[in-house]
Amino acid sequence: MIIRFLLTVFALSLPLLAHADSTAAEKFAQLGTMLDTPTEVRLASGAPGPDYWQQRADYKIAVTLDDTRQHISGRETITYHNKSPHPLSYIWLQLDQNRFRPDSDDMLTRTAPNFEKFPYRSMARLMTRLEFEGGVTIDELTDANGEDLPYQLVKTMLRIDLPRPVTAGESFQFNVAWNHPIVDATKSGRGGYEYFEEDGNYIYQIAQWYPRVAAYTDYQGWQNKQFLGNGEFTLELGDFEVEITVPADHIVAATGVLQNADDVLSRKQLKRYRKAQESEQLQFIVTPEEAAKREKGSTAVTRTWKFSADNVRDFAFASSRKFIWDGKMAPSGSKQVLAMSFYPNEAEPLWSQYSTAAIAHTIDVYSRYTFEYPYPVSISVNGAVGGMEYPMITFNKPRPYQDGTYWDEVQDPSGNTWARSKYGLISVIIHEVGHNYFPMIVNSDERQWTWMDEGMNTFLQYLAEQAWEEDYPSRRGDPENMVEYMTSGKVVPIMTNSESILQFGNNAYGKPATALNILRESILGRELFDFAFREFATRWKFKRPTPADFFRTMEDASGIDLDWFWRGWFYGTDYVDVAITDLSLYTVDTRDPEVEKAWQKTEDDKAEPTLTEQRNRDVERLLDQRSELKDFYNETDEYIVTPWDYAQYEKALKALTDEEKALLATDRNFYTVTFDNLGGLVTPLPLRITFDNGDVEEMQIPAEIWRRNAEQVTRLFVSEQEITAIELDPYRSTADADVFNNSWPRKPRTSRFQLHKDSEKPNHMRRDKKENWEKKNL
Amino acid sequence: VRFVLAVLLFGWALALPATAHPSHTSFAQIGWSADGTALEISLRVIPEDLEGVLGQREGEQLALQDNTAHRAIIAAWLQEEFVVRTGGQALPQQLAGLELGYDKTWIYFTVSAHQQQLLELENTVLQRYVRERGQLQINQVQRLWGPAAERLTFSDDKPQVLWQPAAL
Repeated sequence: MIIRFLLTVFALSLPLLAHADSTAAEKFAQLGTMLDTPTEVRLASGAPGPDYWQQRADYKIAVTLDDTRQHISGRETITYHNKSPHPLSYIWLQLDQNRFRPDSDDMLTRTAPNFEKFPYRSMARLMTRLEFEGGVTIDELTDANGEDLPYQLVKTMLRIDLPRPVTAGESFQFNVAWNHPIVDATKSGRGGYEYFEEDGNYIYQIAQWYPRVAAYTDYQGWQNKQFLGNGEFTLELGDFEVEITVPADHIVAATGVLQNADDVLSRKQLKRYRKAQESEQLQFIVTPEEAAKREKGSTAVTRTWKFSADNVRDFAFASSRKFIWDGKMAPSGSKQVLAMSFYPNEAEPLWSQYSTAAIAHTIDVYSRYTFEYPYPVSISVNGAVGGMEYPMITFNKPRPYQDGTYWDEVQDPSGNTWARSKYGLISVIIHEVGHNYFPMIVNSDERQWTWMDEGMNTFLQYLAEQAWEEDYPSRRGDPENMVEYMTSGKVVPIMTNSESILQFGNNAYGKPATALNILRESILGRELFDFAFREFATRWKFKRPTPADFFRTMEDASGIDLDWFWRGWFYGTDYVDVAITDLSLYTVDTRDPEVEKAWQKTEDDKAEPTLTEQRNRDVERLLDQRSELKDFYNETDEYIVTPWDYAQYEKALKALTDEEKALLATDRNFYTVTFDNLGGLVTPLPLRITFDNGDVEEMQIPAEIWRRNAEQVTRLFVSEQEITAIELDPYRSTADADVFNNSWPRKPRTSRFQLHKDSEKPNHMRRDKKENWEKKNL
Repeated sequence: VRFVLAVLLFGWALALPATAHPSHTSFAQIGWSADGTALEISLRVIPEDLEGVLGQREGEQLALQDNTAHRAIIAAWLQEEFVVRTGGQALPQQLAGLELGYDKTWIYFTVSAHQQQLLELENTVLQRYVRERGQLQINQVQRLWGPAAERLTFSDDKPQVLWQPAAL
């Protein structure tokens, strides 16, 4: 549609076609009272304040692993430092293993399975949980002098009633002795054992295993969320000295640095261990052959491995006689970190090729976006735990299938990778090692806000994956991957508490990762985002941030108000779907009759004759036969400029100033484009505009265009050239749910099915060798 | 009440998740064939979930390949979990192709149907399998004859109207 407009009437009103409405006001309202009130502990800037404090707990632990009955028993001395300004009359411990008691809240609150057709695996899991007599037995709880301390067990927590309050700045030391059975990690749990029937051996991945001091914070007091299984944990930072007694033929991996390598390693292993600490090339400390030989035997003799870890919030370890052990040094900024992997022969050849390499890559990439990795080691252990993170040590499950195959019927014998196992392994290691940054070091509260560690970590995981190889098949991070979840209706806000989340993976991992990616690529830009994100990580390194600290820091450091963004993406459930619904062209009415009548003739000539006009073209009319019936109106060309037209033009010009006369000569096209916000979530509008001379212009309109009307806006575009096409979000950067309404003129839809029919070709993983795709499969 | 125990022979520890808390969503795009005698359907699912449910049905662990045997297993599974009905009668399906990938698997199939029929879809793809793992499966369907954003969302076994003839 082309409209000729009178400059004096329309020129000022065009940009103001949007009107205020209540939805827009709400969507752009400041977060205000939705955030905690700033204090001198947590500043309005999002930084820790001058009065910031957090507690600290140091541990000395001796633990024995019983390989014959899958049981551990331990004794610990905890020194609790009250750094808060408050006296504390009791201390809470977390006993996460009590989740495995048959009468735990986790068990009691489980809803019924669907018995219509119940699979064996689910049945086995259910029976294991019902029959497993898990949970912690407290053998002793005494003060530093060995005097019993009264305590109260409350489900997965234990309250120690102190003889007198621990005052501000004071420390309190106490001892706990305990034991508990180890859960079968193939059925349940974030740690546990995996049994290998073929050789009778076990891999132990021991986590959340010792009584741990619960967090006491300025925003909540004592942590009081019982452990139900999803909200992982939040703890105090501290120093650990741990002695782990295991069968003498076991290899042990643990949080921290091995203190007695001379005692527990053979001379040959010791030499290799030292070599690994000097080399950026992978070194086997225990070779596959040695591990295979060791798993054929067993021993009743024990050996104690000693580890030390500073400034960590937890401690985990793994132990098995099946372990191969490799390692190398990995740079993190100016530092060097010992990256190591522990895995059985069943994980080969995948693990020796990728595990330690993935650790090193993660440390390198994450350090660029946050801070240098502050710990001396980083470990990846293969076992039954799908993927779980603890300080300096991670548990990662992917292995090749038992027969070493995955996609192709014929494996390339020279190759040693199987794509899904490979990418699955690399991704899970990046993710779990990445958790060292969030939440092990930036110590957010997982019991409250899963997204703060999982979402931020998944976002950085995406960056690390994309830095691994071109077109790395990342499952999360790309905006378009979130469309189905966001439009499904089964959505709760990201800010929902960890235990109440629907669609855990999408809500706490995928959506926040997508949101941060959009914030980086489409709203702040990489430079501003990276500065602000690094500022947040640095501010809260070894401290405990809340969501408000993150939101405030990102605004404070970027100089951009993002309240609308947090409100829409983190507190809301709307999705992105913007449609281009109208485009109109306006050109200036110059008042000059010679220009305007010529323009009018051109426009009229553009109109195609109607069918009747076309079919009557050769028909003889009455006036062709009888010229006496013609008059002035039949003879006159309406497009001819008359003296009257000139007079009117002269009269109009006299009334104008010189500036107004110049505007009349403006040779511009004025386009108004209407955007409808169908999804509700306000978003920037990235546009690609194509002109009739072939020029293409790309621009981005900030999300604030929706601030007066969040349902529909009309935007003015002024150009010398005529626009031939406009495309919204050409690079799929906004998670727009319907890309078919993103263009003017509309593009034809092509079905996925049609594309498949048009491109019949072999599985892309078989295309490299002719014999693969020539072979008749079907 | 007696319930059926579907037997899995082995392979628990070996069927490995490739991602933490995978996004349990499926997406189907449905259009009419050019001659209007069949629905052409492209269905995208999470590979490990698909292998899991098929392995459960077969009683053994599966590493999916594009071969005759696995196509037959997929076709039989589709007949149960992606059912287009008219007048209560399930319409016949024909598997047309597979694309097996690391992060997604596409299944292409057709359903014989007529545009004069009222068609209902019961889309329970992976719902039971995922629910047994304590998660929620979301299945979305985009109909190519309607606005792309107006998708059908299935999170239970209730059928929804897929196609309504103009006369109705």
